[in-house]
Amino acid sequence: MFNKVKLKFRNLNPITKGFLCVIYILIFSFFCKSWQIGLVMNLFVLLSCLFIDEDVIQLIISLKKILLLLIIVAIFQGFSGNEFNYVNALSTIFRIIGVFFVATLYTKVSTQNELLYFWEKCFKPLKLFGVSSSEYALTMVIAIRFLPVFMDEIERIKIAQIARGAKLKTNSIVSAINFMPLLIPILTQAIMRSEELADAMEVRGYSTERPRSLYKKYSFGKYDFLTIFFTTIIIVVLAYIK
Amino acid sequence: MILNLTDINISFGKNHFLGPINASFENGCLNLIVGRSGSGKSTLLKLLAGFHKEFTGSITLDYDKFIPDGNISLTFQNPETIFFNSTVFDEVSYSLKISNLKENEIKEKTNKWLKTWGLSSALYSEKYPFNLSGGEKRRVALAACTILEPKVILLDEPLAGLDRVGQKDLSEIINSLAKEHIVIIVTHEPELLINNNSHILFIDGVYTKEFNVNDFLSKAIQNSDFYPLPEWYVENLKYYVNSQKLPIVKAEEVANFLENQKNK
Repeated sequence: MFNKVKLKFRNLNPITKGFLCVIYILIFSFFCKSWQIGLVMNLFVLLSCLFIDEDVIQLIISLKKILLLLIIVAIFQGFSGNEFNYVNALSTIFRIIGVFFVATLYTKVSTQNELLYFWEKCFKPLKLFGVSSSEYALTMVIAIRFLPVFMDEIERIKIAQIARGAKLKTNSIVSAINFMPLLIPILTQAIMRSEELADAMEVRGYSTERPRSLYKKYSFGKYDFLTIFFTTIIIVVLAYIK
Repeated sequence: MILNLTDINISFGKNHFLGPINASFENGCLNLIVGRSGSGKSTLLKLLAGFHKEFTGSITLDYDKFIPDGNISLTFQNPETIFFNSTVFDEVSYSLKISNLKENEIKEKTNKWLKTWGLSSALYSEKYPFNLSGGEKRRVALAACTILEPKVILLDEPLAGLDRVGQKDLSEIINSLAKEHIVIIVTHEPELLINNNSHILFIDGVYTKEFNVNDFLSKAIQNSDFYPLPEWYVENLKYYVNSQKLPIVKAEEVANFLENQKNK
């Protein structure tokens, strides 16, 4: 039963998912003024992982990717007055962590098609000014989806270096210097890949000029209304506290 | 030099995948790993190269613990996997550059090495590796991975996608490398590489066994399910399976062998 519920929450309408992502990022940015609210909101986001079948521990571990950013921001925020202000530093850290959690969960539970669908809808008003919404949406989605491709490419190069007899344990500064001349070839290969991707899409009949049909129809269900309802309650409560 | 594998058991997560493997690989001969697709040959190479960490057992090089760190090279089945530079020269010379050699030494050694692998530096140095033909890519990958001449050289399907002349050329180069290095090759076509002092590790799921050339050929002639040798070879030699020294899979060797048998 609970698994069914998890599946329902995971497969919400793409517009609901996108809307919630934007709303929660705004909440973390503008409503979480104190560290207590920030902490509660982060706990709420972690709790919501249980309903969308995501690993809470993995999500917390993924924070190490932004650890340096958190430390730098905490130092700057903390030393903004005469003495170190822990409250300021903590509340800023919780806001950044919240935005990171929400964005991570959104990209984890959304497929490329769902992202495309949401952004197409968002850009639709631009059609009034003669701008192709689907083209902009596709550009954004590919930009998001290409980041893991870049990471894979860097990993592949590391393996290629070891496969040629490079030492596994080297000084990180030395390995970074060794890596610099490879940035241009990596970019060149990424551009070549994007050209291949464009060709592959065109030969399969993709065009942003013509209206396109959708294989999967997205509809609003009770779980969509339920999540929007809860979010509204949270906004009201936060506005009241403020 | 001798690389010893003792009770190696490979797993993926909680699932046992392959083993126990007990084998030893030496320099001075070609060490061939043979088996069906998906039997674990390439995984064993990745383990030796240090890319696959989930295993138990011990690996020793000259009876000291073997840690793959700058002393191995691995050429993948798909040569493009290791390409990341913009020219063939940069690709091949990369290992020398990270070894802090002088520029003129790098140039000299790279040009010499390109020539060894049948790539004229005048023609290929400035070419983009991804634009080469399949056979040329393979030569560049092999040259790039072996230029440092590490103690252990691991090759995954080094002759795949090459024409017959290319296969003959490369097998000669690989044979010459094997004199001073431990060369371990995963192959689906051992008959192209096999010579009289080859050493064969046969892998089939959890079953692994070492063979010398004669035992391997004899078993394959008797049972094509074990390993399917070319039909002409099996037809000509099926009456000599108990021979102490079967010829390798080369027409000339087989003809000489049959001639000798007739004269007896």
